[in-house]
Amino acid sequence: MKNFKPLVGMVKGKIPFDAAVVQKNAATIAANLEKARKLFPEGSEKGEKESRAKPEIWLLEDEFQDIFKTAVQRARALSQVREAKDLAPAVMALGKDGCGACHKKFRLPKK
Amino acid sequence: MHRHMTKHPLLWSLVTAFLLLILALAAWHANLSTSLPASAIPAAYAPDVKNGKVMYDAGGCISCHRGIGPDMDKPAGGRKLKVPGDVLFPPNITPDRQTGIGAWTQIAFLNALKRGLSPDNNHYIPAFPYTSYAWMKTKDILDLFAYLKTLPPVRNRVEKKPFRLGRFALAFWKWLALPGREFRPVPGKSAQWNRGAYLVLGPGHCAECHTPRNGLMLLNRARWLAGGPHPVEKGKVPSLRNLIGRKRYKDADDIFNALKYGEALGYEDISSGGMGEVQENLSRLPNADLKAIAVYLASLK
Repeated sequence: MKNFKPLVGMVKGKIPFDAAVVQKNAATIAANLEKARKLFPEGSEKGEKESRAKPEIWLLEDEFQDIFKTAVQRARALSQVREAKDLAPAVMALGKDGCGACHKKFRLPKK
Repeated sequence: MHRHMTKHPLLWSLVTAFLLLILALAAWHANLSTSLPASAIPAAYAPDVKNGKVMYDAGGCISCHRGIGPDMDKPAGGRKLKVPGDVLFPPNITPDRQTGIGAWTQIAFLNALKRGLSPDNNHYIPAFPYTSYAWMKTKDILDLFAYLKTLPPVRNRVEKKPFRLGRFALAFWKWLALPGREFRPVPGKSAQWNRGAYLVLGPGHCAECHTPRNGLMLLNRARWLAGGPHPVEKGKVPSLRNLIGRKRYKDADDIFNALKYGEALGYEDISSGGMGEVQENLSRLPNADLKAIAVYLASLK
């Protein structure tokens, strides 16, 4: 989220487009997604008080992992953006197909 | 008191049974006699399919009535739906004559949405949120019907499931829960605010999840849209009150962006708990309607 927010700010026109920031932040997001992908072994939600992981993560593990793969692809595509006009679709594709797709299906409401 | 009651257990159960019978009869009468007559359709009514599509997206009909496999994007029904304490299979509302609503009349459709009554005069389970739709304008409901009729018909028979608590209990509950009138604009508020309030209250049926319920499963009007336990999942449904003051959103424009784009623009609180689908449906509304919803929500203290 820390890395995604400035990119959303650029899409909304609140901060000026900066290809270097886009490249750096998108690469960090891709790397973090790769790490996060491995943070959901079965049973890991137990004992974690704040965990919002749904049990479907382990019932539909392939689908869960596929969203991560899509998210990484979208983040890499975003890191290639060099022109302001290509930013919005790339940011929104990552947010929708990555972050949103997973949170919609595999995340519980806040406690 | 306790000793007194145990002295006359038969008497007490008879009194209770009698009172329940009276209540049930009152409810039965109240509801069965209020199905709307055909004259409820205005003589000058002319269908507006485009407005019907707006109602369809505001209501998010597809979320519950979604078909299976290739019919995913059509409201062909039959997909499992979790509701409090039960699992349902919402019906096919495509215009197929045998298995959908193709053979329905306008008045049958109006009674379904405004009275929670099926064409054979049975009570619908309130997972179908007619307690909200009853606030809708007759014209908007008929336009929705006209829009549904333009969709491709899908042959898909969904078996009906009897309501566990039975007809009498449901009739009584409906008697308490159904609003007696359509939405009326609040004087002194802008047309935009009133449009938003209408979409939230009626077709949008936001209160069904965002307003907590009391012991009788009735909406607690004192805590209107103030959030509560999630009806089927662990966790909470967030409050929609004071969204700006609590710094959840900056202003009405920010709420508009959240509803229009959801997590595509990083609004991560709008994906879980079923809201992701709601947001997707709402994103298809005309911008002016979505803006009206945002303005109304931003005004809630």
